[in-house]
Amino acid sequence: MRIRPFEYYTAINQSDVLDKLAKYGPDTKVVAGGTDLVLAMKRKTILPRVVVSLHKVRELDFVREEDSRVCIGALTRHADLAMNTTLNDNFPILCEAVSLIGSWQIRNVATIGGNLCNASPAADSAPPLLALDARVVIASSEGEDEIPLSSFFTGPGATVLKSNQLLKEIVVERPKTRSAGCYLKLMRKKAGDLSLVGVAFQAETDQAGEKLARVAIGLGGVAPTPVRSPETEAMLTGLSYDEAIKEIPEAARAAVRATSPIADIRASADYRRTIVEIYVRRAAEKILGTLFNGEDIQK
Amino acid sequence: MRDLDVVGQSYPQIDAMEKAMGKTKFVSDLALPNMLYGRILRSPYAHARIKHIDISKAKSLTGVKAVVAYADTPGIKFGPRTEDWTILASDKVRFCGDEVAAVAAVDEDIAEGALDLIKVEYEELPMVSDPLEAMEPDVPLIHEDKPGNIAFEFKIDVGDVDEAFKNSYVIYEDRYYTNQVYQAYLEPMGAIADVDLSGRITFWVGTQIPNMMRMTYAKAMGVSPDSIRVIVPDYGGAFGAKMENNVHLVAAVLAQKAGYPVKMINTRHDDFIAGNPRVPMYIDIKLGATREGILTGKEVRVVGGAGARVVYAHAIVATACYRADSLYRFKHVRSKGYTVYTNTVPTSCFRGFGNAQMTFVLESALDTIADQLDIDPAELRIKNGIGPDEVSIHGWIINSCGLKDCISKATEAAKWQEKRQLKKPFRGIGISCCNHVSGNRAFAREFDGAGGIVRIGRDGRVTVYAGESDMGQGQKTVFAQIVAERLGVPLNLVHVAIVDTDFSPFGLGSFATRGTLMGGNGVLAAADDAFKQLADVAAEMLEANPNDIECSNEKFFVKGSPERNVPFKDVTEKATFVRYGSPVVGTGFYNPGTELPDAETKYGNISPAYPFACQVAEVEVDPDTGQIKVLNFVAAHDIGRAINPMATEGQIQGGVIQGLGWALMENMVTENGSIANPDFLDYLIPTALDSPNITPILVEPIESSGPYGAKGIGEPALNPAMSAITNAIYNATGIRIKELPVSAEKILKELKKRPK
Repeated sequence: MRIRPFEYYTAINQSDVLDKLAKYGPDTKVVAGGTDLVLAMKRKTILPRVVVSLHKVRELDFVREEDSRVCIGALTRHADLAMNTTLNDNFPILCEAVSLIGSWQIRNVATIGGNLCNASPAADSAPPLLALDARVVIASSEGEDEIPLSSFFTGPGATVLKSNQLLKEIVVERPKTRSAGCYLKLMRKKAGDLSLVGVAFQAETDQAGEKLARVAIGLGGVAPTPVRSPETEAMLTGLSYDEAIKEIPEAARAAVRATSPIADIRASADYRRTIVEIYVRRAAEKILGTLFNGEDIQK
Repeated sequence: MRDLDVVGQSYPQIDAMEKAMGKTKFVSDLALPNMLYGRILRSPYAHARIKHIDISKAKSLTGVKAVVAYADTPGIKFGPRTEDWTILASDKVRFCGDEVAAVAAVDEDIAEGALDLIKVEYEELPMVSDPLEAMEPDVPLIHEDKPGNIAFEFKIDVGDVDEAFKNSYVIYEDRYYTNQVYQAYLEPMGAIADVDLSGRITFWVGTQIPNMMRMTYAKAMGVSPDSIRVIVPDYGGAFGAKMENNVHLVAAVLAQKAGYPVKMINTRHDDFIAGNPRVPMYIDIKLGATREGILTGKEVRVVGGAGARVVYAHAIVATACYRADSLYRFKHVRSKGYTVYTNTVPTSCFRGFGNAQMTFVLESALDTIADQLDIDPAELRIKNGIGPDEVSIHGWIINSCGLKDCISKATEAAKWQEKRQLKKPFRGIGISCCNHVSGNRAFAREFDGAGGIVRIGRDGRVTVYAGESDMGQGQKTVFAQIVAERLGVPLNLVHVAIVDTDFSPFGLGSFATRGTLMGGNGVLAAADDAFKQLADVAAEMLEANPNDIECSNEKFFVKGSPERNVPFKDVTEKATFVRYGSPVVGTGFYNPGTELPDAETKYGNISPAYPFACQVAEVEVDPDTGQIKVLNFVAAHDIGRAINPMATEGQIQGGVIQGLGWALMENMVTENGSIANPDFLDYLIPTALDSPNITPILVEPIESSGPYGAKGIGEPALNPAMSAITNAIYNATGIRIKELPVSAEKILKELKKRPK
């Protein structure tokens, strides 16, 4: 399980990365934490001719508040994200999700950009970001483009990124009203496992705090890419607490319709579907409790 | 006996600091000048004929120093107990991972690259991976001389089982399956092999059985045992797996061919597909009891999957067939065991050695019978449990036995009564017991026992040599404590050498929970001899009779007058000078007086002492997801005297967690003849977060045969854990787990079958 020889280049800044990507073309891979790429290279499933390292491109390692939005640099490590105050204040759902990735050792090196670009259907950062309507900034030597994360993934391990493009940052709008969210992850043990199912549930109340103004559900591990569950979201949006509580069982069942899980050594498709329903129900109950009755209300 | 100073105290492992600071040199850390790196080309097929091998291209790659295939090996059939091995595959491959060819090169990259240049033409053959299927008629034979793919049959029949069943109020009968699991030690298998000009081969290898390995490898290499030296550096765990394996021999063949030392360490992937995981077993059990809950008769049929060649699977199947019979007062038992070839990785020893498999089944069966008779499962075990000074059905002489103490202490600590009576929905508590051995005469064959050497230099430094290696379990520390106690010196004066067949006693090794009792008695006898030699010198210095000399706290004195004394180091210096530089060397041995079981009846006392245990687990099951949470665990163990209570508790906790892993997540999945999860991503082992609170309880009846009263702990720490958990799941849900491991998905499936 040795890695085949390849050319290695340590980029010094973002424009250097983009130059190298433009220059070396399709056989090039960008490496950040390397926790996915190195394994793939050992298994020979990815055999890049050139690897461009981002580890000196510290300008991409940030969490920044900008007016109504929060920007997260692609090179920010999971361990840092999990403990970041801005994120914990605004999007605790994201902190919760990334704190469940791998182990401490993995979270200390793996980055959010890497997690998204690796495009595993089970990537833990994707469901909460989808539920937060996150956008991603894609850079190339020709300029920058901002697209919704929901159009970033194209299949298992595949994204819209072209060989000369780099995922630069993730942008999330701050909620305007009272919001809460949680991430439930199905693992086969209590740590160090990838998600068999990941359910991110994010909701906001209206100004009066009486009704659900927005409900968003991100699902991981149950479709070729991380997906949203628009049907369930629509069923719950606009409802009061009492109405929503009644609707939850039906809405949770509807979430299953957004999925098309596979069966593999880790779980059957049936089990994944069952868990989607249960986790959506549990997450919804928890978040409704937080938003309308809760002690844990977020600002 | 006077009070003990060192034995019975909790010390950190004597090599803990070295390990924690990264100073310990494990096998994989070692390097020799001009050393080459080896890699093995392994079969991609579960069963195939080798039509042609072309190694020429690989040979011509720059940096490659040797390429070998079967034709380059001695071509001798050999094996630890069954001569169905060759060093590399001759005419056919029998499992995915079978050794086909190998390369030694100046670095690992080149070695691995060269493997791609070896061209092998295979003709695929029909294969079989399930042991029950392998026994069916018209199934392809894996070894042509073994009809039905049956490598071994074992049978035992004591008393009148049929009559016993007739006299039973209740009979429980069912089939269980215990799956194949991987030992998951930190350091994969491997060795460095070097050949000197005389042809003598030295192995640096992490192994539990250096001397038995030497005999097997001498045969394989076609040399005398004297032409093999085995050095056992510190190594990263074994749990039973590190016995003979072809990976070591391939290194030797490459070293012979290349003329340089060759280091061959399995990648984790290779270790998964070609290590020696646990023997999977189908076990049919029939168990009867009277209305009062007295066990009447037991019948089992065990089918164990040996994989493509026999390592020790037959001995493991035999152990499954009868060891657990001595846990209770059985009078009528019958077992039939089949060790069956399959086209999978050869299976072998793993903590518990067949007794772990059968304990899961027997203790599950007992639980069911308790339920049917409406008897408290703990009480059922107390009613039938064997006691001290009894002779078991197979002639095992039980000296000390704290089984009933273990049951009462474990149930008390776990609040058993209260939790059974005030049962909450989807919460459950389960109990399981086990017995084990401290050495297994049936496995040791030529003799059982152990020797020791204690060398004391001029400066008072004590070095202990034993034949039982330390793989991380703490054997060195236990030996050092025993020797320090006997000599009357502090622990820090005593050092324990690594095992080297050129210097160490001819020890049988670290297996069968025998290290502390056998090896400990061996080094104790040697320390006794060394002490007497020093006492002669001290007696002269103190002008006293040598028989009256004692030593304590590093001072020799005449019994009764400790105030007039000579320091230990003055005596060792004097002893060295009066011997013109010769060190004090004490030697000694321990003869356990065990019996080789009768070939037909299997009657005979196989071990000098028998440890016992009772474990209680408490679980909670999530009715929506099927997920199982182990909330609490109590493990009471009769280990005789604990030489080092802290180390003993560590063994217990480790065993429980390993058993928990087996019960709840560990599983080697075979798909189309190959292992589908040969990595830690999908071969799951528990993390610290998966570990419940574990309360170890030491029950210490002094064992007359043990060093300072000690028995073993290694294997019994694991044996009852699986059924303690599955019995708790039964108590929580009514679901009887008959197949390991139990996943959340399986539980949910069972729950869904129920009427709402």
